[in-house]
Amino acid sequence: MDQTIERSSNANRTFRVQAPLVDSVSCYCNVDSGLKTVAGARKFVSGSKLCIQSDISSHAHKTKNSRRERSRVQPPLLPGLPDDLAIACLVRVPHVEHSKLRLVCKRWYRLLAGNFFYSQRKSLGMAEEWVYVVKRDRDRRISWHAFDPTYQLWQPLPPVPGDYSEALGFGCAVLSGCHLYLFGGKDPIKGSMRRVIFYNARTNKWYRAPDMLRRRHFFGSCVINNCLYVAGGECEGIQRTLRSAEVFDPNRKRWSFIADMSTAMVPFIGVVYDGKWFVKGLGSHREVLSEAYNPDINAWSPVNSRMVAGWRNPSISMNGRLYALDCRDGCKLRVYDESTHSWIRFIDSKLHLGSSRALEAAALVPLNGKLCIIHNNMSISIVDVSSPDNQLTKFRLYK
Amino acid sequence: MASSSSSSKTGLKKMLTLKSSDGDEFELEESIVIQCQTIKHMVEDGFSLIPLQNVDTKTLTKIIEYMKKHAEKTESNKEEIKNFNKEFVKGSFDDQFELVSAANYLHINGLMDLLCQSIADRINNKSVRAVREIFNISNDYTPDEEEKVRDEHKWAHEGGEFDESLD
Repeated sequence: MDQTIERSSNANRTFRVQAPLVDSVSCYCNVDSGLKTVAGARKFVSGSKLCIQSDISSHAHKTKNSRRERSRVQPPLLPGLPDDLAIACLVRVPHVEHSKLRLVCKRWYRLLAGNFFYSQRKSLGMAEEWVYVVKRDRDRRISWHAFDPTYQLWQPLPPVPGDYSEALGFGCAVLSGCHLYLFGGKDPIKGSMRRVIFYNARTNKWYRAPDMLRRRHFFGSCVINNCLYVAGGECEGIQRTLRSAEVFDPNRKRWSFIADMSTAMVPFIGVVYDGKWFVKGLGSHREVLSEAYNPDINAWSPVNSRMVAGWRNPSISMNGRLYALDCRDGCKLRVYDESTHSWIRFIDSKLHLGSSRALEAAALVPLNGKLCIIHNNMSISIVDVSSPDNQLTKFRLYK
Repeated sequence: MASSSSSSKTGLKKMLTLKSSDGDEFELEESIVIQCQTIKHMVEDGFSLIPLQNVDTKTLTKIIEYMKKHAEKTESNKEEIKNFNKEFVKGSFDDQFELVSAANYLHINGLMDLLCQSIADRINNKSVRAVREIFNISNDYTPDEEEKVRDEHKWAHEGGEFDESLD
């Protein structure tokens, strides 16, 4: 496994970016960097997703645990302090140290396995946002890496389960603030998949989740109100391009169909903006199509606005505004101006990084209220969009 | 300081007396003491002698020192307060734990944050073994169990160098 990581760190291949999670607040994620032209859409995955966190559903074993704890004499969490005060201290330990805390003793392990610890962190404003990035090696294997902005550290995630190690065209999204989902996609041998797995940032492990209803790859996805939506894409067979769409509610742990799209499409870009999910993609005759899904009325409608016409990957919807690149390396940004219905120059940092593929921006994600630009070489720039003149730029190369 | 002028009469600062569990009494201006929510509520209820049965003299002296300093807080002395805080949290765990308990009992939120964070910071970059030593926690894992937990998280440890020292 070390070898895989070693190799991946040398490779500047396409990768995807997944937004903050850990025990975080809200996030977006964006997929493959490879897509630069509409024609490239079929080769690379694309799309961007909005992920909104909500509370983790509490597990039944929580009450069981506390009962067990009450009925048994056990050592204090911190000798010399009542447990409630010990917890007040331990919740302030940064996330990067949590795997170590679990190793100290069994009680600390149980404390960190429960929801109470993380809900305390959240209510005290201690929850952290991290950026999760998926990267594909030259040998086509994928690996995930997490960026901790506080300590400016990259960490590898445990290896992706076998079904996904070489998958193409799968979706990724964050649900419930700390679960990184991978869904659908195409395995080089088995073909299109319904498979869904997720990584729990609190336990640092991968788990299986219920399969999607349809096999699909190269589809669009987004998160609205902590529900995961997928639409369109491809499936091997007679009907290559799909119209169908589904939603997954993590609390009910169930997929269900939503209204079909008006036309079958392979989406290559998507965003949740103004309460609707906008997708732009290629129809079955390779024509460019745009649609918007309104979750309130469960209906798709074609869109033909200047927003969609000038919309390019990667983009991001943040604080109600829609941002996109105005230069491939992200040194300039554009914003969509509602009043004039046009895309306008937003920031020119005057810090052009270069035109190489490695420096191109692969994705835009929100990070602690700022706009975070992830480049192909896994360096990161951060822009404070609330004060465009006061641009903060940070770079961090992977290793 | 900006505070409840409602109770200050004719320019005279209203004084309160805090009594520690050891019976020692400390007279302080009300404006300093009301940083502490518990006392503030008692003052509102008309108390002027406040017995603190859960706080001994040693701890109360420290807490008064903290409240006095923080009552002087202005825009211009931020750096000074920061340095004061840094010095304030130096000390043995026994003392710090006493202070946390007292700060919690007295509801001094700023002090709670300061102390809890400083205790939490002792964990940063330390090895597991050092954390156990520092906090006097006995390892209740069997070697097999510990290895299993370590396996679950081995991905998080790669390349990490931990500090084995106990300070």
